[in-house]
Amino acid sequence: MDAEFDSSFFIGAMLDCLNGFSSVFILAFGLYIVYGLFKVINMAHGEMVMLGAYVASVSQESGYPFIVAVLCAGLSGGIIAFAMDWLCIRRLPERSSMSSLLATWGFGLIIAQGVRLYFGSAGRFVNPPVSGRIDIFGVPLPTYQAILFAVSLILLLQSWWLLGRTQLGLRIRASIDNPSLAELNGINTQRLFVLSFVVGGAFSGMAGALLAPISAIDPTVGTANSVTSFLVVITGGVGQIFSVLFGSVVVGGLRSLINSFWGITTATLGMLAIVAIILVFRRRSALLND
Amino acid sequence: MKKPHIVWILALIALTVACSGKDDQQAANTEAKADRSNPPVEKVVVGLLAPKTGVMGVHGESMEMGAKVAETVLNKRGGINGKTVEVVVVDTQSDPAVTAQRARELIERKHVNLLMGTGLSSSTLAAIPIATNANVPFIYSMDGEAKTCQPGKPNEVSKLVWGAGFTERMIVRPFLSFLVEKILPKHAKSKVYFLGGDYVFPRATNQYARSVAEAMGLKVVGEEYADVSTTDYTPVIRRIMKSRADLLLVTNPGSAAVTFMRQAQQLGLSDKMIVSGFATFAQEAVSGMGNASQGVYYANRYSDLIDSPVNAAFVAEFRNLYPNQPLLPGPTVAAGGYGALMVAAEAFQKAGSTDPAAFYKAMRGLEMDLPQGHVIVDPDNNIFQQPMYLLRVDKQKYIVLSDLGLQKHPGLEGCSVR
Repeated sequence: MDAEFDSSFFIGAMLDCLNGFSSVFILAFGLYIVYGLFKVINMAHGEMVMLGAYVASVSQESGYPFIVAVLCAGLSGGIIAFAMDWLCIRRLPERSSMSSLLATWGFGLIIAQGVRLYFGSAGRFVNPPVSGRIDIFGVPLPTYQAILFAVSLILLLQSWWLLGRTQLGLRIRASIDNPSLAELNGINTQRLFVLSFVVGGAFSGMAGALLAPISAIDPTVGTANSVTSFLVVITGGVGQIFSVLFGSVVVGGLRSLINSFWGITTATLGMLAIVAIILVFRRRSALLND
Repeated sequence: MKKPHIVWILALIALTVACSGKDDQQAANTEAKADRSNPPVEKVVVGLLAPKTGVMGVHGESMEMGAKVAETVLNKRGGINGKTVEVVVVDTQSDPAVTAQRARELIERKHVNLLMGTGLSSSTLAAIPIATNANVPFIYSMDGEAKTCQPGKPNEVSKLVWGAGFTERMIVRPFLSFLVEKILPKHAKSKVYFLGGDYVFPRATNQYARSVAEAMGLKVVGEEYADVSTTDYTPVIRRIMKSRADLLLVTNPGSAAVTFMRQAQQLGLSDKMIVSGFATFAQEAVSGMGNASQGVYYANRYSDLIDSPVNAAFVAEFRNLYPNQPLLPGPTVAAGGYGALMVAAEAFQKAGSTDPAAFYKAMRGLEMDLPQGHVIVDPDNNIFQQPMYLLRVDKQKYIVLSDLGLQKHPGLEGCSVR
């Protein structure tokens, strides 16, 4: 192998690592808001992502530009999340309980079967808003992948700013840390939860639209979306925005990096082994702290 | 994070995968109870093992539609030997274990006279011993390696299993010859890269295709298999591009190929090499690939553009039964399911009964015109001899380039039944 080959291979592997990270970060971000912050297990997350992809496909087919398709997908996710809260979650005795898990799971099934009934099982597609590639030291990077990376950075920074630097973020954190005390201080925790749940749902829908140009769209992809998203959130841990960043780096970035060197099967096994080790160590340190 | 939450999440994800087939199971149970309480109706019952969910989910519904069109056509004609034809569809979830369970249920509770379907080779291989032990004829209707030999006797033809689709030995050589002679550059030794889903059929196909390609003078520069649940193919695509192959052959049916082609388009893979493959660019997959499938050369046994009265009748009946189906007038898997059931019906009619031994005799050498053309049930191996068409994908539809004629599988070569 000559030097040129080595450097281009290394740059390609790094770019793929960033691609892998940004794809799973965007995919899991909506779940992070709902589960990572409020600990409500949204089992319908994968189906909401899938629905977002379908909405984007229909919007684009109807002649709307890609950005409108993404917004429509976000709107669909937000509406579904609001309906889920209004019909089920707010009526449950405790929203961060097993009952919310079952309720959202039921919603996921309804979405998946509804999509199958209406659209059939054949695949659909969404065209990316931009084609072409950017040349990075002689290694091509699809322009759309670069956009996805930029989107994931924007999401990360705006969440960090919103949660850590604004009054709204302070109220959300107070509602999560001690809901009773927050209520006593005049914070409407229920309203904040609904707002966060709807925003989380909207991000799930938008993730479906944003990832649609690089993935298959059919009624069966919801479960795979949920599995990956939960892996990210569980690996990263709950609470801080940087936890979802860490989860995405392990589940998406590391997997792509291992894939570049040793192939897909090793990458999947390696990523799962790393996730297992992280979970074991976290459990041990939690026990030690206790 | 509490540990029980993780356990619940995993349990529910597993249950989600399992639940779609639950309805079919319950329906089968309910109907079985009803069957026991009501007087028997004269019926020929066909159990369809359709992968309606999971990685082959895009094909399961097509398979069901094709079989339902055949059921409608046959019943309009008065059924089989005066008996009504009933197709009972169950979802195998693209899972071999579920396929085996559903096959058992169809045999024990619905008393099916014929089993059809499945998607992945592993699912078909799971269903074969169950059908064989229960003495129920079974036709697998999608493309796949030969599975018609007897378990433990690779040189003996099964009397209960038939293959209605293409095998790799029917499709690889003529298709590669076409690509080498007409499409690939002539100036140098062309290089080929194989990519497949990580299971039986792609590996069996590529193993054979590799030997054929090397015999034709092609240089194999890579062979790689990806788990069908893979969602990020970018490193694989970079490896393929780095290999400077002239031809990429993809054998990865279902939604996995859609994801691959969408990402390959982003990196401009098709600008660098000819992209083609086996059993990958079915109409359902092509509709999901969008313009990423533009210009792909493909060998297939069916196109809705085949000009024949039988195909016209099939298309008309399909339109009639499924007027809002976006894949109108029906993709390969639908035509394949339809054809397999029509051949079976002809054999039952000829046999005069649903007795498996009489059915086997009637199936041997049976000839029939199906939507894809003239088909012969090969008496040497139970695999349908059928015409092969060279196609090119244009705006997500097949354009027929040429008819390569009837293809025959040699003996029981490559049979994967152990």
